[in-house]
Amino acid sequence: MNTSTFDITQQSSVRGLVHKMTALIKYTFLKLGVLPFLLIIAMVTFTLLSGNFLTVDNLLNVARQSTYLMLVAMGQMLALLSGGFDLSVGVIIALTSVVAAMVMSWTNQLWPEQPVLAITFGILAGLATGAIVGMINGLGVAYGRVSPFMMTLGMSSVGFGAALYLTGGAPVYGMPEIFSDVFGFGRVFGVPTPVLMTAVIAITMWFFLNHTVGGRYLYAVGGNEKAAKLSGINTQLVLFNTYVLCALMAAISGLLLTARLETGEANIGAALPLESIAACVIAGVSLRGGVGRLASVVMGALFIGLIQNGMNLAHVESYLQTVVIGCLLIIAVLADQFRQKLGN
Amino acid sequence: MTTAIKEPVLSLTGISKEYGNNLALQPIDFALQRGEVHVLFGENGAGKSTLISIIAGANQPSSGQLSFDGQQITIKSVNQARAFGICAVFQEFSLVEQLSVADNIFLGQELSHHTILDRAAMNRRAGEILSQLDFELTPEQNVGELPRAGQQMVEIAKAFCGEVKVLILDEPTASLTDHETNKLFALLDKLKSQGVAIVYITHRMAEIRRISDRVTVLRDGHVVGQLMTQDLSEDSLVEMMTGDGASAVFPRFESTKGEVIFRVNHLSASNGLNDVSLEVRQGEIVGLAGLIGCGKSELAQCCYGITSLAEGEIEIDGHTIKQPSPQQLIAAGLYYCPPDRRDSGLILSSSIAHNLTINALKTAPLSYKMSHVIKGKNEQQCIDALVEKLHIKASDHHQLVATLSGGNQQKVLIAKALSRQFKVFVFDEPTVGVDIKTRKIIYQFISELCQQGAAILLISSDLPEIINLSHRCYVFSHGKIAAHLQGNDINEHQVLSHFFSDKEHAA
Repeated sequence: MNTSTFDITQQSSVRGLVHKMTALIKYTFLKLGVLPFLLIIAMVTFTLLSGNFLTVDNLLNVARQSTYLMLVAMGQMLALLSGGFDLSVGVIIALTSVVAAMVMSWTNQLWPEQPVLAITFGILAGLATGAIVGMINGLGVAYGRVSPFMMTLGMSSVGFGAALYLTGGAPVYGMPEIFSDVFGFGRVFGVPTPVLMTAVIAITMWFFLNHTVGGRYLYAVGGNEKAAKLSGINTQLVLFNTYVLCALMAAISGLLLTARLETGEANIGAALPLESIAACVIAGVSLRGGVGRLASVVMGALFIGLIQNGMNLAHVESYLQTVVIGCLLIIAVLADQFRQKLGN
Repeated sequence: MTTAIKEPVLSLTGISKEYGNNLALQPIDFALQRGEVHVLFGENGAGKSTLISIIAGANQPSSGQLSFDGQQITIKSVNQARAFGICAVFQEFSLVEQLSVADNIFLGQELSHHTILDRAAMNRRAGEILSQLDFELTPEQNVGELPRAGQQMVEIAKAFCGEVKVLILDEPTASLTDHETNKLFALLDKLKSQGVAIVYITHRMAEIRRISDRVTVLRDGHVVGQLMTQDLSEDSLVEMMTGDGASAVFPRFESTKGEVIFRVNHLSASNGLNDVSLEVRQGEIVGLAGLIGCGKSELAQCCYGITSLAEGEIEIDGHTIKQPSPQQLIAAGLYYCPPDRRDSGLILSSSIAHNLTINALKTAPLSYKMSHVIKGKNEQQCIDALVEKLHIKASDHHQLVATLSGGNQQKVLIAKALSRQFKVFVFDEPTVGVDIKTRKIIYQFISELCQQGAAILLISSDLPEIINLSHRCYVFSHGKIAAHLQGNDINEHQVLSHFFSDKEHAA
């Protein structure tokens, strides 16, 4: 008799624990979305698959490799928050890379003793290129009422063609070496420059989104454009600025990539529109606009970096890697739908 | 009294409908007889629409029984209702604008020949239906190209592609001309003689007299009375509709009648407004009454720059504005509370806090001038004050507006009025779809604003609201001001008579 009562109490306590666990999982899922679960699954899987995965060196490496995507994803997040998206981020990177490299090498040829001047001109030219593409996107979407899909898809064709035309498809060489030494491979207090810059930009962006009128307006326009308009917000200007900012983020990423590659390339960034949208969606940014947190997007980009790194270590073929990223994107959207149903 | 002995074709016993905790329809009994036109009468939100949507299969009742031809039935979908011969023409159109008239009439029950659409047959049949109804439409026309009246006709024609035993019409004449209305009525007479039972929703006395046999009056989800049309008096009907004891909800006070602060001069616009002029003084509530589409809401949209003006100008606090925009008017001191909180009032995906201050973020107390960095502490204080003032019930200020009840959402929308210094307040349907308790809070809020010297324009389809709150009242009809009433002239009889007057004069 005694043992059987013991069995029953043990069973019920196990049941209680299971109940608590499911409640906790449900709460986390509702609050943070699917990302924490994906992160745990990825960490466990890759640690089991490769002994080199869970080391400080490798994780720092992941952080550095993820910064390029992170910058683009933060820009993409702005476009998503406004209720649209930007498919041209990839070619903005390519165009920025090509233009910056060309300007740098010309200036470097003219004044070989002034590498800082060449770098400054190159960076300004790159940022200006990004800004111009962003402005055209912004004009089309905000003032021309072209759908973000068509506008940015069209611009990505324009940009890609322009980048190839400028270079004839060949890489651009001749940048001052110091550019790559500082922005590609440099370290400040042991932290890689790209990581440091991304951190500064992320903090600025967080402040902008959460503590300034501009950030608040962006959420409002994406959440309900009509209501935003009736509240006296210049919704067209907000949309325009969003696409310019998004393009600038991509341009910064393009400059850092150029420094890392030591050449200007017209065919980089092709995967970034998808990857940046994936990073945002996995992080719970709503495709309908108005909902999303910056910290989650940073984690989302890190997660994709982690997956790519882990698959490399586990010798997953690169063609298959794109299959995995695409699947993860769809799973994330499905999970988000499920979460909304659960939330109601 | 011949109708009384006829057997009911459709009868409802103890039918009720709950939305969350809100009982939209109390358990009610309702019987519909063969060959009668039965009018449902009541205010917005009285339960008319809920009732017809249950009969038409668009909504499922929370409890109760339906029986049709003496058999107990459940109606799970609009299609199933149609199979029984129950057809509804709702106020909101369900038309596909890109398709032709015939395609729309047969939408969902296309005629086909071995899975291939039989266009010829559909066009022929649609032509027959249209000529039977005496509507001047051709089956091949695109619905998107038709005027509103034409679309209304297509919507009505849709009900006739099968055999009809019960026909439900929700304010079908709202956008029809007199000529078309008369044709529709002639058709209804014909259907009646064929034994079709008709449920008809209208606010117009003339129509009730013209076509109905019986009237059921609904208020707050209850059936408050049932009358034969021949025993009907307008006063008793309105009294039943509004109910007694309503006045306790409304605060009464005298207007201080300050300076004229808001003026509309000869305004005309493409949305039907035709040479409207009015003025509002500080410390008074001016009501705008009229039917849906009469111009009262349209006036507010023009004044706020949502629809652009064709002619005329507005004047606020001494500034003349010819082409208004929301930004300009907010800066000039006008708060506009739109009629549809979900569509254009609130950002549902944002928190209560962010919704409350969105109008005022760029003012000095809430943000720094050049950097536009928000002063968090000040904003928090402002939000706390507003939440308390309107008794907004929420777990905390970061709760998303989407998760609030309708009443609390409306309170958030109303509370935005205090986020900065406004002088003129335009409330368009401020209590639409909220319960009596919330109404009381909102009325109290509006009257306090007024007593502090604000000028208030109250636009409402809710007659008691206009009658009990406004110091002066303009009644709109067909885009024009039909009457300007003051003091004791603001009563049900006077206001309603001007609602309908225009149409009756024209006929």
